Amino acid sequence: MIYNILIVDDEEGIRMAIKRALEKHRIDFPFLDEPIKLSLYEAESAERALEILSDTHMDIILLDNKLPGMQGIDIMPYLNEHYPDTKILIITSFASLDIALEATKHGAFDFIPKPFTPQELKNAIEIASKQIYLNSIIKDMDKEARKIRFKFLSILSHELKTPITTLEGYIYMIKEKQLGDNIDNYMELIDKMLNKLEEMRTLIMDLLDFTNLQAESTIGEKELLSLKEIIMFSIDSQRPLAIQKSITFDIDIKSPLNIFASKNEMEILFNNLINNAIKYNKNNGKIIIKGEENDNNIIIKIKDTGIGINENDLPHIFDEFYRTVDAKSRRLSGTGLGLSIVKKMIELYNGTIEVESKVNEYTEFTIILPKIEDNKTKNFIDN
Amino acid sequence: MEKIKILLVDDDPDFSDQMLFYLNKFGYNTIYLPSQRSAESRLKDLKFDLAIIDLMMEEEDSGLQLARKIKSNYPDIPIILLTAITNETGYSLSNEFDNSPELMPIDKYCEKGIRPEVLNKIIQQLLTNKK
Repeated sequence: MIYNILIVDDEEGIRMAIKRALEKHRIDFPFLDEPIKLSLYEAESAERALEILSDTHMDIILLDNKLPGMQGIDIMPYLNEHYPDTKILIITSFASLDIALEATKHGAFDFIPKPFTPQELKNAIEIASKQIYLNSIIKDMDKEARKIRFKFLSILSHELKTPITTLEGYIYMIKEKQLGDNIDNYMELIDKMLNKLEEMRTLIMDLLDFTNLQAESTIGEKELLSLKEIIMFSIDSQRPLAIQKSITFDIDIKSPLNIFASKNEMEILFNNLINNAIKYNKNNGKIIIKGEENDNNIIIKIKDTGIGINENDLPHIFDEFYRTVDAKSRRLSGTGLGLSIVKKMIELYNGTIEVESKVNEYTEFTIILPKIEDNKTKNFIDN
Repeated sequence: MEKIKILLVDDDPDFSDQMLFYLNKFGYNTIYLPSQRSAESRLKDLKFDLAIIDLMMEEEDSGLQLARKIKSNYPDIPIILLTAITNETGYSLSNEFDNSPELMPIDKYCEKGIRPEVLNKIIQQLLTNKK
């Protein structure tokens, strides 16, 4: 990496002295892969400086305040407006408070009082360089975050607009009496509309969970919980769904699987996984849940005997809004957010989730959650 | 006279239901497939006069990928691409197509939610041009 430095001073001696001090200087910080080199440019007047600036980007300008023609301070507002990323260091032999105030007002980064030692100069350049480097990193991060946000919003609007288009289509069919005058002809269509609305409602609920997770700040109040209880409770609440498809549960959890976690979040987590195991199962299928723990971790396996996940889909199932082709074509409702919520939640607890699947045979999720996050939790559990 | 055959590829079952209803009502014979993958695997043995394809299926540009494959096998088959993309981005793909038709294997681009009668006119027009 090379930073360009423009030296603006009417005294050739000073320019030479600055060049000598900085020419071979390398700026190194522990967080840099390689030191920053300096490339030096000279201008004997403010006018000449503006010329150089118009075709070469400068990272730092060493600006003498006292110049023939335009003064250093005179060009500060222009520099600030046109080169806001450039750090300006004012060199002045009249280090009066007035000049300092005026220059600061116009955005000078620092002052170097004349006469200065080479070390003083290097120090000032190093501080400015560090600032420039960090600012550029922050800028890149902002850009990345904006890109992600845009992508999320465009997917989201697609996910919400698609069902609206579908509902609109159905409403037109009714309005235009496409199926005749008898209202009974429209019942199937109305049921489909109600299902669509239910899907949209679920999507909104999932989105709320998801945005809470994105913020990462709303990890709920933690308490000592038995995951076995959470899982049993989740099964009971979804049993009606399972009964509809004649699905049976096979549960093998010997210990209570105690964990220090938010009840609400653990419920969302297992409700999602168990709901998937029912939804993507076959009629008369089975759901096998195994739970065990060792010194450090809780390991839970949830296996269904369902439609499975195609290997093309497998790498994407934790992506936001991803839905497998099979799930869509089988008209299984879903928002494509459930598993990404599950994954984010598990990651918040420093755990992992893995999936194994064979099309038309089974899907098995293995969740590993660390039991104890720190000693405080350990004491809490021990007592 | 034999009925005109339309290939419909769309992964949204409800939207496809509506399309199938109208295409049938307009007197077409429709072959429906729910994904790029399923359409590609059957492309060789399918016979159709026109294709209507959804843009976003397995991938964001599944519709375009499929359209390219159809055009390289059957260059004369008109293709209508359906998408909701304008709604999301406020950016219209149709202009892109108009400016560089050679890049886009699409004869007509329509937004999802187009009224069926309008779509039927477009189908008729494309079939007439083909002859």
